[in-house]
Parts: sequence; C-alpha cells; structure tokens
Amino acid sequence: MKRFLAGALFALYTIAPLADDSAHHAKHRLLRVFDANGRVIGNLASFSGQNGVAFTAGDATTVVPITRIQDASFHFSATDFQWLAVSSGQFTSTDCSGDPVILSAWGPRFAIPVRRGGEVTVYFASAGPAVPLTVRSSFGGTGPPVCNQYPSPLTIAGYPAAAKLVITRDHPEPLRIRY
Amino acid sequence: MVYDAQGRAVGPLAFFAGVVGVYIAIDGEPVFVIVDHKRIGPSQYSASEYEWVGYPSVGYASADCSGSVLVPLSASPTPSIAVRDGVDVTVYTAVEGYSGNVHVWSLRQTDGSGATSCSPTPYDQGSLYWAVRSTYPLTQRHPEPLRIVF
Repeated sequence: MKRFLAGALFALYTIAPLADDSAHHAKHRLLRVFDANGRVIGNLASFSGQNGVAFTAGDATTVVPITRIQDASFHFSATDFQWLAVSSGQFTSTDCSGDPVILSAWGPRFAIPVRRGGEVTVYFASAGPAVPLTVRSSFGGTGPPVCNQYPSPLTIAGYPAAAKLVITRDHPEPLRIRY
Repeated sequence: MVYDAQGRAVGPLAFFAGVVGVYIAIDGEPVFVIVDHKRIGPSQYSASEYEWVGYPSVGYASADCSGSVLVPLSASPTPSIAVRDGVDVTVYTAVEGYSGNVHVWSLRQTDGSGATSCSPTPYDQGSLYWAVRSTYPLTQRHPEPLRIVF
C-alpha cells in the first residue's frame, strides 16, 4: 500500500508540470508562417539570426529565411513576407540546366533558396565537405537573369545538391506570420 | 518564459531576427517586444532583472517631436515601436499596407544615459514609417521588472 501511494504521488508529481506546460501552450500559441492561400507552411523558426521556416529533405533540415516584401518604390509591407532567395547560380552544365552548385552557408544543412522563373527552389547540399566542382555557366547578377556560358570551364569549391524542394509550388507567396 | 513583476507569464522567450524578446498579441496580431537587463545607472545593469526595451530613436511628422509617434520598420512580424517615457512603456503598432504614407521630420533620441533630445531630420524619412493603428499600455499590462525563467 505504501509503495502504491508513493507511486501515485510520483505520478502526480511528474504529471503536474506537464499539465502546467500544456496550459502555457494554450495561452501562448506558437507563431506560424502562412502562404497566400492562408495555409500553414510551418512554425516560425529562427536560425543564425534569420527568421524563416524549416524544411526537411531526407535527413537534411534547413531554415529558409523570410524577408518583408518591398514594392518598386522600396516601401515595405506591414504584413507580407517572401522567401529570401538569391536570383543567381553557377552550373556544371553549359546552359544553366540541372542543379546549381551550393556555395552559401544557410543552415543547419547548407542549402540555398534560388528564385528563378517565378519559383523558389531550395537546394540542399550533400553531406560532407566541399568538393572541387567544374562550372560551365551561370545566371544572375545585375539585370535580367540570363544564362551565360563561361568561355572556359572553372573549378570552384562547393557542394553538389543532394535534394531540392520547390517551396512556392505548394505554398505561393506572399507569406504572413500569425498565431 | 518571461514573467512580469506580478508573476504573470507574458509569453515564452523568443528570438526575432536574432534579438531576444517576447511576443504580445495586440489586436490578435503578434508583436515582438525586445527585453534586456534592467538598467540601474548609466552603464549599470541588474544581473537578474529585465525590462522592456524602448526604441532609441522615435520619429515624428512635426519638426519638433510634437504630435503622434510614428511606427518604424522594426524587428517584429507586425511593425511596432516600444516607447519609454520614464517608467511607462507604450507599444504602438502599424496600420496595414505599405510604409511611406507618412512624413518624418524629427527624431527624439535617447542616449546611453537615458537622456532624450529632439533633432530635425535633413530629409523626410517617412518612407520607412507607418501611421499608428493601436496603442498598447505595455507597463500597465505587464509591469517591470521582468524575469526570465527556463
């Protein structure tokens, strides 16, 4: 009987903080990021001082950053956000086809969100160290994103893409941060 | 979790754009307010107590810091500004839509010692500001000092 009572007390002791936690969760809801259709994309995450949403492909997770939308006259939206993506890339192909080489250091898994042709695609780096890669074309820079074939191939250190996700396909922009 | 002076939970400690603070719901919208160690003197801080952080620079449409506060582009899902006036901190949130429908011709600045001064701006900085949607009496709802508990 004594052992039963001790067990019951222990059970109460362990449950009480859980109940308290769930009460907090009900009162202090998580912030989430919604797409243009009002559908949830995921929880608002923070990595290396950047706000974003975590995406996972296979065993790789990366936080894709979001940024407040600006109009053509550089005024900011009070409510609307978009993916913070680059509009450039280097390719092993001669015509900017295939996946771009990953050079930048978003994380946790190195990845790069690329905005191209109205879509934002996140490329996840393969596991392991950077390797020498021969690039033959690139797009981006200033002006419209046109593909330029390099006069001669160039060897750079980078990560080949292990996986990619077209994040605007399921979740069109603009994005909003709400409860 | 961030607790106010009355021991009430304000919300979980959060990070927005790499800054430490807490989210407060104003009109049902998430507003991020920065917290920091409570300042006791010009360069003295409490080890344990926290306070709301007011913006060091507050914009006004007038040239002499009179009239209504305006809301700057800020680290918060809904743009907002926490303004400290002595022991009172008030949060102002932005109207919807794009910034730039207001003018900013002066800034009230607070220096490291807490002293304030008003200076006119050389050009209109309104493109980075919004008009005020809501006024929230932060220290009335959540009095200082604050505590952070894990």
